[in-house]
Amino acid sequence: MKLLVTIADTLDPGFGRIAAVDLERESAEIVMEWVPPPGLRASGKGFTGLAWAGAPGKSDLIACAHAGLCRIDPATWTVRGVLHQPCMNDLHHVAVHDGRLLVANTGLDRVDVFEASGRFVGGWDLSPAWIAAERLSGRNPSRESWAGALRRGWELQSSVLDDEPFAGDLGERALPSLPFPTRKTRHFVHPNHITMLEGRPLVTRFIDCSVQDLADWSLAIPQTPGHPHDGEVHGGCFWITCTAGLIVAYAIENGRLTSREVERIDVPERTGRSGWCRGLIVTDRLIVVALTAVQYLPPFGWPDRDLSKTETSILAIDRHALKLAARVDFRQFGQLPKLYGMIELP
Amino acid sequence: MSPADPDQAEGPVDIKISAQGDRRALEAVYLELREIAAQKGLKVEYRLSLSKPEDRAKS
Repeated sequence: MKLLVTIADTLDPGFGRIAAVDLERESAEIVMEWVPPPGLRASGKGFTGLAWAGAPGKSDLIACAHAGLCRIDPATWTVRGVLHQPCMNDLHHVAVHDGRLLVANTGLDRVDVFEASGRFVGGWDLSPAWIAAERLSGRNPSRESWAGALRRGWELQSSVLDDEPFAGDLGERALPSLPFPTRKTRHFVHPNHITMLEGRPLVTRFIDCSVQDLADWSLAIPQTPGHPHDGEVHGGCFWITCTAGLIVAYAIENGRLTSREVERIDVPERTGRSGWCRGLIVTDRLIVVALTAVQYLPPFGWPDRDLSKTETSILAIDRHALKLAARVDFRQFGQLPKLYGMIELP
Repeated sequence: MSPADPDQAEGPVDIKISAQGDRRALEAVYLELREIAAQKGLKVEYRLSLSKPEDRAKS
């Protein structure tokens, strides 16, 4: 199997990179590098989600940069166009469906929808619009203040959010004077990944460990066994990665996602390898997962305090034997490389 | 390798620039240098060293 993966690097100026991976040869090479214009560039932030604009292998690619979508010609590996709105911040994924682009605008806790032409269509706010407005203007509410604003109920209350500055150098990257697209923001939902299931957009919500069906707002999976990242539909199941190292499959019944778990794979247990799990590809034969070395103890926890065992690699797990079938090491692709989205090359 | 006579340099030459706490400014210098180097058929390798491990943790 051949695939494409997006790579960022914590210590680089914010290049958008894509690598082509050959699992059989256990090799990878960088096929493109994009330097964002200054207004869209954020240190250490590169491409994240990746999707085909149309037919796989026969269309352009759409890659999420930190504050815009890049339309890429895979024949020449050049960026044909950049779709940017000043409310974009830390985009994590794009799903292409029925001529529309559904974008996880993670830094503002929104899902935005565009026509393929780039024209804005609409979107889903995952918190009230006035909170988004406050955040756009530079406020960084605390988690408590944000949660309180959601449950105001029927009692009239003053519309005041607190402001909790980030500590240390993060504070400098979150200054209200910085333009929103490149400013560090506190995330409250952190929508990671969008998957279309029979016209229903499913979004993985990292912070509260759930999967939401945006067609009716229901939490199709109210509690995932870890913080969810990517989600893919394959073989009648919805498969997710949980960042600490789980891959979980949930049943799809009558075209709707259910919370009935049908398979769970513990990546470190099965492969002896661990890392922050994001990208996922599921086929009849393989489960392919992208790991990133953990550089610090994440605020939402990590099962093992010894982070030195974690690695940046792509693992292919044989679905039947549940054993490691291939591994591609990404350590050579930068100082502190991070792997995000993967798509299969037909 | 940094040869004694820079005019004779054939291999890589190390250039160290202190960010002085302004990573973005350092990156802008690197990107500009990279562009100039590319025009001359040269390549610039960029390695950012953080002074404190806790800074690296928060990146």
